[in-house]
Amino acid sequence: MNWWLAAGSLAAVLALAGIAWLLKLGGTQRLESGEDAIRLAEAMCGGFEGKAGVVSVSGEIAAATGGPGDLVLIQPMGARHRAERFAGARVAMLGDSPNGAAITLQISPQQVFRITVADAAGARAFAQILGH
Amino acid sequence: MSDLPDPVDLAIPAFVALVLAEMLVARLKDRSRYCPRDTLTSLMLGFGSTIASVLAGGTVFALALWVHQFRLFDISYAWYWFVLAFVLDDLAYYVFHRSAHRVRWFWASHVIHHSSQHYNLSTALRQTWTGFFSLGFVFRLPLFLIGFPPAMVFFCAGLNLVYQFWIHTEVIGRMPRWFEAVMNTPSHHRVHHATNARYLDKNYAGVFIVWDRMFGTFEPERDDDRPRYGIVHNLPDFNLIRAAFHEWWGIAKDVWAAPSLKARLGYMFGPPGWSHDGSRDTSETIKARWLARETRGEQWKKPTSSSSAPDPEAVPPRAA
Repeated sequence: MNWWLAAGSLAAVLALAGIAWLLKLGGTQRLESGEDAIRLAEAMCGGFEGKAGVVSVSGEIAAATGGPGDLVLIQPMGARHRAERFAGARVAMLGDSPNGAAITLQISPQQVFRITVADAAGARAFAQILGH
Repeated sequence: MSDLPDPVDLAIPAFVALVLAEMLVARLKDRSRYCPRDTLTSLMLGFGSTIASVLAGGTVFALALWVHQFRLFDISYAWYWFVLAFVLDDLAYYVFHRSAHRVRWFWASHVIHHSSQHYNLSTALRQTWTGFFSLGFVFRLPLFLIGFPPAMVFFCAGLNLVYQFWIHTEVIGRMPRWFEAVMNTPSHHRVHHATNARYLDKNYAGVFIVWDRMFGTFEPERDDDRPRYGIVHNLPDFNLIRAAFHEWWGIAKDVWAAPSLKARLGYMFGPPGWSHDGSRDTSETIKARWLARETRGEQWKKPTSSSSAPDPEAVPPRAA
């Protein structure tokens, strides 16, 4: 490889990434139901067995629980997702929201996460399993 | 004859054109097949890899020449020796690649190639920056000892790499039966990139899938278990430096905290996921748990998939 080829390759890299952006490739995969959240959490976190799941009103964020304290949080990452599992998580607050139910999750002593879900009954079941 | 061209350099324009063509297909069929930030990360890793190869290339070639002086046979540049060199180099690649998935030291370098959740032609170019450091080139040394000239072997290795480009795609379903039986194909290699328990540590082949069939590591792609791409613990972002070095950093942390010499060696040369207290998952434990769950009668098929192929049960349509 010479310097011209190196420079040309770098230009091509930037051009291709730019074209991908111009073509509007990517987007976010929407999740529709708690079952989706459980399936995705199980697929992305080895050993996790979900019992209940909730999906945000936007369909982009989700959470699944495998039992008391056991939580997997799913967030969009480009056109795919990233999932993070927490032990010792709990529902700090569960309240009504104009769109359904708002769940405030305490995922660590210093960290809370808020998710608004349309399925209020599903949110209550989720909270019951994860624990308050 | 010793100044053979580098097939990878010659193929770069074709790589660019085919990535562009695949992007256009994705625009028409399924935009989630590509993600601009993932594409940029993959391509920058590829660019960095070529720079790293240039920097290390002289040393590797000098080492090859040094080993070659102890050769068993004098092998000429006749065409049939190229054919044999290509086949044996592909076998050496199989051994290297299998080691790259079973020994954490080699995995730390190779994981870069697997760390995208997408499977497209840009993923093919997502290559390591630390191949020289991980000593992956030692797997080719036996070829020089046999007597194959280094220039011939590196030429064949370049052809091997070029072949492997086109199999990183979801655009092609299955090739004709005879071709699937002998050659590595997009279908076989999708299995290799999948993290579904069934598919972990399978299909290591470079060009000829026959090595996997011979050595018991072959697994066909199934329509009822669509591949989900990436690694067992996916990266949390598109950070280039994290993608290039995260497993090396993990090794350093584990070795630092290890309670004994045996544990230190295990963290470096054991299988990925090995831990001194058994607290982490290896591909064996993941497979065992999956099998146990299957045996319990639960359908642990994962319809949720990062595959872009249609899947009626999969996570539903993208938002724009």
